[in-house]
Amino acid sequence: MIHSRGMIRAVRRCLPAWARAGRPLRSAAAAPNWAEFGRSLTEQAAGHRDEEDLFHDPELAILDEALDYVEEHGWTRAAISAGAQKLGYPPLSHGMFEKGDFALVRHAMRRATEAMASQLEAMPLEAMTGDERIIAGVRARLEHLAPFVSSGSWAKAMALGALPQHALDTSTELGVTVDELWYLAGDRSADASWYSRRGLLLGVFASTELYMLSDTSEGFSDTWEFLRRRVADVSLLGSRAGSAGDVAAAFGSGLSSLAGGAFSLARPFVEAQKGHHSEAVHSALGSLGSVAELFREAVADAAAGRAPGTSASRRTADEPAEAASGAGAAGGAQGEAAAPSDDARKRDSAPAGEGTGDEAGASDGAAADRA
Amino acid sequence: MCFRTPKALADSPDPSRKAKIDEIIRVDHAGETAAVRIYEGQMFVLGRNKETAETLEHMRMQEVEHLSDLDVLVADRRVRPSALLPVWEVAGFALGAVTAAMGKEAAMACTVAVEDVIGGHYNDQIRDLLARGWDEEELLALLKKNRDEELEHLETATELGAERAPLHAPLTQIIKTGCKAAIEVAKVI
Repeated sequence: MIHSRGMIRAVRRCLPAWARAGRPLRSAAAAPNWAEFGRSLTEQAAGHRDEEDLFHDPELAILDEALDYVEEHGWTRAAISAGAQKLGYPPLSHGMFEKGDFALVRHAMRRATEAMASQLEAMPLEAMTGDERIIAGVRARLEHLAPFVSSGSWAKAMALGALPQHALDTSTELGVTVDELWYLAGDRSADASWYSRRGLLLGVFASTELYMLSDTSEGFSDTWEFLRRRVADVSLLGSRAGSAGDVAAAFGSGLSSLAGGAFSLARPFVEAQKGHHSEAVHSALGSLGSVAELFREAVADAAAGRAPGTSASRRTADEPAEAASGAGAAGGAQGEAAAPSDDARKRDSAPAGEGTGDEAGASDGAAADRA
Repeated sequence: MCFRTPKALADSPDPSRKAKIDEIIRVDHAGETAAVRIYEGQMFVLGRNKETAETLEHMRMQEVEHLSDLDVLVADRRVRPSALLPVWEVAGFALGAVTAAMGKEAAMACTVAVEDVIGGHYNDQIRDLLARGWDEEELLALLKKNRDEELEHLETATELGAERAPLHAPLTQIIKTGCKAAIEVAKVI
């Protein structure tokens, strides 16, 4: 049967009024302007990065564009949709991304790592010491995301990344960042020190990133000072070829920083999603937080050669308001994530004399500020 | 764990290819580390006899050469080395020392068992790479060279009396099984 406009109109006349939606059968206005559509994509591609392949991955383009909409929409599918529409794609394009909101966060992390790599490669690395290269790399990586940090949206991004369903992806991305940074800093090791170096740098990076979230100094100068001190702390350990104990300590400090950070950052999100599982999740996160605290202290004690448990008891004596339990740290750190304070930054003067434990000083100090 | 499949920013258009190459290099690197330690363990016990010491030292030096070639590959191809390297080192030394303590023939039997498994393992890898048709000339050449030298060690050890070892059959079987298990573990961890 050949359909004609006349036949279709005849059929529609038989439909009840509610079914006769005002939608026209074919509308030139609804169809996109294909010439312009293609042109806008090509222009975008040309305008983006000239050294990239001729093959233009629409996913990358959409995510790049979506980063501009994070201020408005947050790290959500709405931002991805806005970015897609800017490029001329349909708003439903966010469906391409399985991980949804997290895809945007991960893309930001990847672009930051790429920026770090290209910045480092442009530097005179032979003239710098190993520590200086590491500091430059971490700084480059964090500076790339500084606009998001200043506006407060990076804290939400980190919290998103710390959620259990995304934690593995986040740690893979961090692993890539840390591996790339060590490679560019000149590490060509192929023994156990490969692991100890990356574990230590992971701890330094995680603690610096956390510190940066509530740093209000001019150009994040306090953060770079903190970074410098942390790298100085760990450079002593990093130079030795790792024994099993060194590797365990390095990973312990790295993981406990991450766990503590993840706990403190994810807690607001978990509370926002309070529902059927809130009780179990709360207690689980609470114990995770307290375990992370105690682990961190034990590792710091071990690194400084003291008996385990010394710093915990010492801190409880000095600052009774701040408990070694996860509740206190979490409450304080939650305040840190939610409302960046403009108090003076004295956090690294907290438990003086601790070796690698100082990298945990960020959340300890922040909690003390708010206690 | 964050180091499960590290992808360097360096060109890696095909993640599964990188994963496979990483696995190959990781296992071989771990294997050569253990092999160096096995010979060191044997030299520790049997080092007093000049002739034996010379043969063992020659074989050890060849393994050290293999290991340094693989070290370069680990760094260049951005491969994550095996996390159990300290374990492989200790286990290798212990294996070498214990079998050497059972006598020179037992030490040679251990060498035969290990080199047999390693030779077969290298052959499997070469076959795998050729079957996939990837352009990996340098890696293939290295694998072939290593395999040839390992099989040389096997022949040397057989000539020096491996088959005369006490409990030759069970000893060989246990060591072969252990090596195969270690290879499977080193592929992942």
